[in-house]
Amino acid sequence: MLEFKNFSKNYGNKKAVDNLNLSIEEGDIYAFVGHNGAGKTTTLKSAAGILPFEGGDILIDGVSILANPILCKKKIAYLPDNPDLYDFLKGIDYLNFICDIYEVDDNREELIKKYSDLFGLTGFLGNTINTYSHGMKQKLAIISSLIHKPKLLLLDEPFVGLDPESTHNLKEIMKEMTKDGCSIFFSTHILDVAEKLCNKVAVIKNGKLVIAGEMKKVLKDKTLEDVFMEKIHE
Amino acid sequence: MSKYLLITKINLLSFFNLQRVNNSKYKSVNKKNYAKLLLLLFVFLYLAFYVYYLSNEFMPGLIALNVPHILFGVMFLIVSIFIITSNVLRVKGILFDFKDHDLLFSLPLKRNTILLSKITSLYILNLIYTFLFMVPPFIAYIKYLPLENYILYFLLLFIVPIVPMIASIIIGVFISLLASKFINKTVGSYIVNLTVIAIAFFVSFKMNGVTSADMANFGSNSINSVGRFYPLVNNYLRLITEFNIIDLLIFLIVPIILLVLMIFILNILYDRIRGELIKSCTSSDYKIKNYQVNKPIWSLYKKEMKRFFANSMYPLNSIFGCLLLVFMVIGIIIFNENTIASLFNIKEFSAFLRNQVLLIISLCCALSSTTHCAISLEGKSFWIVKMIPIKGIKILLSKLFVNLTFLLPTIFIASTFFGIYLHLGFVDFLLLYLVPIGYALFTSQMGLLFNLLDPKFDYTNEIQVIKQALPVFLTMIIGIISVLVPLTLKEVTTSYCIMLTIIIFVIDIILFILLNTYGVKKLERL
Repeated sequence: MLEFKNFSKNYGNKKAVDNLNLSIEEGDIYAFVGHNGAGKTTTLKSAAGILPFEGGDILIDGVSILANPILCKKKIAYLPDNPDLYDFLKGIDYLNFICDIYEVDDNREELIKKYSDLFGLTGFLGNTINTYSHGMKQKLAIISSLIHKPKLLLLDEPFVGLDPESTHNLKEIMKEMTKDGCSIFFSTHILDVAEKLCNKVAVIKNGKLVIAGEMKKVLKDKTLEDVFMEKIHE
Repeated sequence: MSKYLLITKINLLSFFNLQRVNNSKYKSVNKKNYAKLLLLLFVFLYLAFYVYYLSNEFMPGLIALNVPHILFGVMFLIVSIFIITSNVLRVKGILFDFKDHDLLFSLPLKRNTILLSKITSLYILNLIYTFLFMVPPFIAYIKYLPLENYILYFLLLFIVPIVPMIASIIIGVFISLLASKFINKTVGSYIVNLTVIAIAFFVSFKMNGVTSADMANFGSNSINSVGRFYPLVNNYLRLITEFNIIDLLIFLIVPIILLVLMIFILNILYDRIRGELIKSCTSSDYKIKNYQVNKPIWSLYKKEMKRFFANSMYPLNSIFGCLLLVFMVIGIIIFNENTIASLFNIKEFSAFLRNQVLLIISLCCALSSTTHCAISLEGKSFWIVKMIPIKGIKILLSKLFVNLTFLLPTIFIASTFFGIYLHLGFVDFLLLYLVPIGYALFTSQMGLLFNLLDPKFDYTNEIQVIKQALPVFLTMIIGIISVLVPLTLKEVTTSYCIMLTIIIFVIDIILFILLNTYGVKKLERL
């Protein structure tokens, strides 16, 4: 579903990501972990078509994001680490805007109600986003990323700012979506969640992949925290 | 370094965007930033030269009337009014609603230190205006007459902006509080800001076409009237012409006492004022309804329109030309020709209008651009535009359409009205539509291209990109020049207009090709 082929991204002379090769299959919940500044956000943004990149290619469902960005973006939902949304719009206007852009015509109201009820946001959808707390913005951004039924979810720190109930609900939705064939590639610093939720994991250090694969094979009899600490201090 | 100096330095770097200059790893970016700085310096020097030119024109007449020093008094009043009108609408953003509020107030800093640092940034900006308006007249003055106290003149310039700045802060707080009382704050903000601009505009029109004698009369009358409630203007004039220590002490001490007093009061009332200004009414009982489904491009356009009306300063700054034109048409319909002619100090109004109508409509179009900050205003939510599966050109077009939404109907109304009013022939009537439409497309596309070349997403206040950014200056200046040069330097005949229309539309097509190729690529790379 998502394939990085010799992907490299530079900021001036600094290599943010160096020759990354990684494949996320259908139905995967793939955790992407690494220290701050390791290149996680750069990788996710490049896969979402937000950041241009110099080296290699990224394929979404077999299509290059460089060659056909529009087709690729239609299959993706991206959630940034900081949900800076259109503050001047009402919550409901933002969801309708996303639905219009992704051409969600059938069951739009049903979908909006389902997800906003689940995250406890329905009552507040009539307010402008500038009145929302960080957590409410995060919930709205999550709803907007789910509402057009993407085949690939790219999530950057999705649990930050969420209350425990919403965190639980999001994890359940992630599991449910992968059962329907969706793939999820997400960055996180919460290693416990990654260990319990994901079937695959990749660790990135200074822009280079240090380990990647099936969670069970990567962990063996250790915890993800142990593996992570070992790998980043090697 | 004291805490005050440290946060003032940070404020100034952010306020004037100086941290960008020579701070990039890339030489090309530094070169670009230096070029921008040089361009701003050029604009500043150009304006300074213009003030000098006007002062120099007035001086012989004022000397003949034996009131040469009145020039300093008039400039003192002009700079005071300019400081007040330009500050009032940004006081809220600078003092109460700044983005680093939470960060600064979480630091171990006294509230009055933070306030003083913010006021210092505003003071330095106002000091720049003071030098712009008051140094060129000084040069014009000493060209004709000796001035004994010229060192004192320069030192006093540092005091001149203080009282107008204090007045602007008080008026700005009052206006913002008034606007916040409306149930719909945006509507409230529109009503109050529009009233302020209308008053300032009327006053500035009343000052059109003054001669040296008018200046002497106006100057002495204004100084006499203003001097009654702002006696410092009299102290200032006496100090320039015949130095005495009492006037000096009054001129120095009064503004400083007022400033200290204002900071003291502001310090006490700060939380209450800020609370009133930023409070918002929210509800928690929204119910899901049936929603209208829109095409993606229409949805983008609707989003852009909502963005446009979200900050009252955006429309009031960017479609000022349209408003001016509509008010002019309404004015001519409601009042008679003579009233309008006397308001604008124009003799033989019909003849004037016949000669200048194309220039007026085109100039109003050149002054109206919503696109020069449309990319920057995406701000930190720019990732949404980059993420959505929509072609770059459609995103750019949605921003262009906003400008045309206001310009095209205004052109239709104004051109139809003036065409009928002036009994124009068919070809001239048609050209009265086509030339302004050409300029509307020109300024819309040019503004967007300039903003794509120099976007600023990390602003602390939207006013920084709506009013103070380089793309705004460039779009306005090039827009004005592009109208004034072809329509004033040569006699405007029908055949000349046809040629001009063809040239403008060819440039429009070139700009669209540029936008569709280079512009789209630039958007993708931002």
